[in-house]
Amino acid sequence: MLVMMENRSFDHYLGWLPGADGKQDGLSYVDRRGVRHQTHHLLATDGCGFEDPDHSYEGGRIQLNGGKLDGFLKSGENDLMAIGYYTDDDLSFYSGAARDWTVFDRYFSAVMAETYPNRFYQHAAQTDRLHNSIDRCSLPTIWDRLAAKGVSGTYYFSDIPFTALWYGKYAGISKPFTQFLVDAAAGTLPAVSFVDPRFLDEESGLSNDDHPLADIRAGQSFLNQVYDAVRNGPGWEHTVLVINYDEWGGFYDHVEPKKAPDVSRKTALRGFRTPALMISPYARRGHVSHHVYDHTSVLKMIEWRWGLKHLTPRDKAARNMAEALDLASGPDLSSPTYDVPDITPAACVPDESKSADWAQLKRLSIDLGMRPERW
Amino acid sequence: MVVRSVAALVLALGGLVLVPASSAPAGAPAGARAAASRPAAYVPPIKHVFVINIENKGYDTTWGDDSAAPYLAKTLRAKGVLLDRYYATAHNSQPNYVAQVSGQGPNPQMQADCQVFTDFARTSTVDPNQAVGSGCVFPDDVPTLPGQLSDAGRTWKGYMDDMEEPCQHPEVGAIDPTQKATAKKNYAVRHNPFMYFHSIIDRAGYCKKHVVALTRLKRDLRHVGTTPNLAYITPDLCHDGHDAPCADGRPGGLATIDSWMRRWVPLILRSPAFRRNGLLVVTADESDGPQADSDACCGPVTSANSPLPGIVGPGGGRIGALLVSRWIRPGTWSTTPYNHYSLLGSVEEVFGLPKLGYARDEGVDTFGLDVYNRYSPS
Repeated sequence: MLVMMENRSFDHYLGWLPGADGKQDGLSYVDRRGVRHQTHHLLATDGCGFEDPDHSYEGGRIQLNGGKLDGFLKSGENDLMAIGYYTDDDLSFYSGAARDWTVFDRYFSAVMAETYPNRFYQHAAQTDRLHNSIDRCSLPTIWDRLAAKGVSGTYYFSDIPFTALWYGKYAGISKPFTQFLVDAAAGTLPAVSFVDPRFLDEESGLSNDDHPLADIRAGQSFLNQVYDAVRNGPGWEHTVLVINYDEWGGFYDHVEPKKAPDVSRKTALRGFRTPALMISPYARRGHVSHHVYDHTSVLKMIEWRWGLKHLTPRDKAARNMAEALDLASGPDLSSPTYDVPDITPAACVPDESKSADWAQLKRLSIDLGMRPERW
Repeated sequence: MVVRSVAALVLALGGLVLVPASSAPAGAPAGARAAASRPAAYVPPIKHVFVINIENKGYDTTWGDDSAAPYLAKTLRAKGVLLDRYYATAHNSQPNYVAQVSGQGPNPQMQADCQVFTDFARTSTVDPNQAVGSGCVFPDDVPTLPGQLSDAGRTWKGYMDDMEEPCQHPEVGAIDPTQKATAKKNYAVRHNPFMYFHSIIDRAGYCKKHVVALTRLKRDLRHVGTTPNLAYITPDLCHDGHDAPCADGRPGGLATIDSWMRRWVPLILRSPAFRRNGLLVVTADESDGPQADSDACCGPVTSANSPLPGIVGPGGGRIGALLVSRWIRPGTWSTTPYNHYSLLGSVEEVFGLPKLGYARDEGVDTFGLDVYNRYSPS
């Protein structure tokens, strides 16, 4: 089971975690006007009033600056939000879950580019575009590999089905989030499931995918809901839940991403680190893994488990995330309960000059008859 | 991607009606002509700025992987920083050039490329220093970048490809005969913004000295002392890609842009003035056309004399700009939104001059260390 959230870097979100390679207080960055600013604790749980930090193909390269990693205030319209961080006090799910389960502090977004390219990597181990667009995708995916072997797989979406970008090919395996809750409770989840949060209304801070300007409490609540559904379901004993993020969202991080084997030199460079957690009766408790992983390591784990052929040179060369599991010991079915409030975020004042890529994909998915369940 | 949409424009228009026009007396000098001051710390000590505009090419057309101008999109691009969110301010051509040298916004006659070389009939002036009215040739007291440079003891020249005589323009009130190229004549007045200011064309000696044929550039580049602080270069209707094919049968378009760039840009890059402290800017006047892209990134979504600067939208579309300098790292990006008013404001910052017109708009940013990315302020 995979949950892919949106747009947070490791240092920004989990830099406080003991035993992990995170940096929060004490870093500083020079802005476009030559003024130096210190990293700082973000005081608000939403991003209202800030600019969504630049996380484009080009912006990532500005931030990387040839390995100096000093450009986080020099790309796009980045403001001080980009060098702000949250601590465990702000994250009611992670404050417990990150300490209790396995966290990865060398997990990188697959490609130094924005959302769609990274989400394509999650489904297909490559991307056919460098920027978000709703052109038809024809890349072969993990869903094809699973289907060919007769292994069940379902893509569960909260509002916008990312699979709509294959123009109907995966309509049959794309189901609403409520169905996920039903399947988890009934023990009828497929062998492989991807679960996506609510993407719409990122600009007004009302989504629960953690994408700025979202209120991060909504993301924590969503993750806790998925966690509870999985651990309380009859299939828990045989479940591995991975939580990852599509990309770093333009937030600062102090670890340089490197190139990986890839279909193209253009997309070989990974993006900055993102938070990643592994939760399972077989997961090491209170553990931090320091090995290099990216989105295709999740594919590698699926391919390893069900004997599937790799999709591209990237997932072929990727480390298998399952190596972080402790398969030698028996399953430990215990799981802590986290006290995560379910909140209703207050909307930011909408900036109508921001165009939303998700709104385009929403229209496409309606045209395809892939009915998003919640508007 | 952040773009100003038509929806945002409607809101802004609603707001505009409520703002009383701040009136400056029509006869008084409308612009601050203060002496040059010390540039900001983030601005490198650039002393020579070269600006080249090509015609009617959107970002992907010019700079994309499949660009038909490989020298421009690959060879030259590898030498500098590509501003991938640089936008034109209007449609069609003429108001974009005027924006770069004065910060004045478009009006319908300008948007139609000033088919007739009419006087600009001014009724008032509103913030930020916009002449209100209609027409093409601005009154004598409307300030310009050339005027600022001359007042500050700096030098400038417009180098106009295929211009037959210095300061070539129609009589005021006459039809512009250069709207369409012929087999022998490819100069277009509407791509020569200096002709639209009485403060320049009414001083014949000054104008002829400053707005010269492109062929003159070669000689001027030989020495630092003969290279102006601002060299504003406009290729002709064939060389700037406006025509394809050209009136005389040459291919035109990006293919001809590329061969022109191959010939002229190395002369600039090799010149002592550029090498010592130069900055080269290559951009386009506007995107492929109003229907193709009339978005704006920043700054005014409407202007004093036009509710739709881009005819069907708020701007002239995304075009990109490439900047090359010793203070810029090769093969890099800037993703900060800029437009032609930003270019004006940035050139003014280089020379320590106050900003003119819409370069003063609070939504218009100027180049910072994202662009001058090899410069360390001391």
